Amino acid sequence: MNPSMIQGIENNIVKIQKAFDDCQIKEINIYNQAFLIQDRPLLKTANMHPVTKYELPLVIPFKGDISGRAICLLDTFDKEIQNSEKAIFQSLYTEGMNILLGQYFTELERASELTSLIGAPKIINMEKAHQLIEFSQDKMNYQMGYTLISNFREFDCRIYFILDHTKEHKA
Amino acid sequence: MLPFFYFLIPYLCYNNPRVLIRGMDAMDNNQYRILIVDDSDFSRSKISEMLDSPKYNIIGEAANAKEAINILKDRQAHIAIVDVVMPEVSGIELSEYISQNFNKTMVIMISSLGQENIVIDSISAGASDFLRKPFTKDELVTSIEKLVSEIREDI
Repeated sequence: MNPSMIQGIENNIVKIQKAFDDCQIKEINIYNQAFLIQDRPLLKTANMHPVTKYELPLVIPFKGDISGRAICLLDTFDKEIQNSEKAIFQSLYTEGMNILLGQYFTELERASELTSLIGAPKIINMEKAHQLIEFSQDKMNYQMGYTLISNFREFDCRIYFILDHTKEHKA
Repeated sequence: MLPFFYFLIPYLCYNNPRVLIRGMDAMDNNQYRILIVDDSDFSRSKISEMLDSPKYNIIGEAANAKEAINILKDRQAHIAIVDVVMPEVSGIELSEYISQNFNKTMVIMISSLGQENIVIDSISAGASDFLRKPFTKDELVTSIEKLVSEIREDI
């Protein structure tokens, strides 16, 4: 790789990092049914913590100028979710994350002209989430945190952005 | 972003012959027949709740394009509310199919994404309006009423 190519990749990474940082969504009202409130800002992360059995993993792919996937993990530890409300709660969480990431990538394009589109969100099992995290440790990763508030209950939610750009690109 | 939407949508609708030539067929008990297409159960139930009025008859809810087409083959809808991002067949592809095969059904696209190219692709595929999620009941009803009044003026 020649120096100008490396410089180009570095500039692109700086641009992506700045865009990611500038576009954070503080709060989202999900049809007056729930709220997502940011409680941890976006950080570049070297190590992603393993998924716990209490977390509900969801993956949302994104493609375009920035490609990769977002892994959302909703912590249900110590929270009582009745069987009767399980399906609707999962659906609310999925749609909440879809709205959050849709707005995020819309803002990203407005702020940086980097266009990426999200795909359909998909609930995945713990094993699959483990694999995705395991195989993504060498990628460019970011994380941020939100609280999902619904029916007077609060759920902690961490979101990992796993970018298809690898760390080697930066070297 | 806001002025873009204000100017783009009326411009594209005016220049989209499919929007102008559509007519509404006879309504059942003065109700508008509406189909909701979204892979999210939560989103479908919220839209259905927003349209809980004697003016609207929800003829069906579909989680994907295939289900939507099956419903439309069976029952004609005046308006289909279609999510852009769905697994397998996207809402934009479905909108195009509806425009070509069910030309009395008008489409309102909905999406959490609000990028300009998504709006343009939606309108180009035959959609008559675009709403960004999360929208309010007022925004949804205004969009439906606008389409209905435009068509009535054309008849």
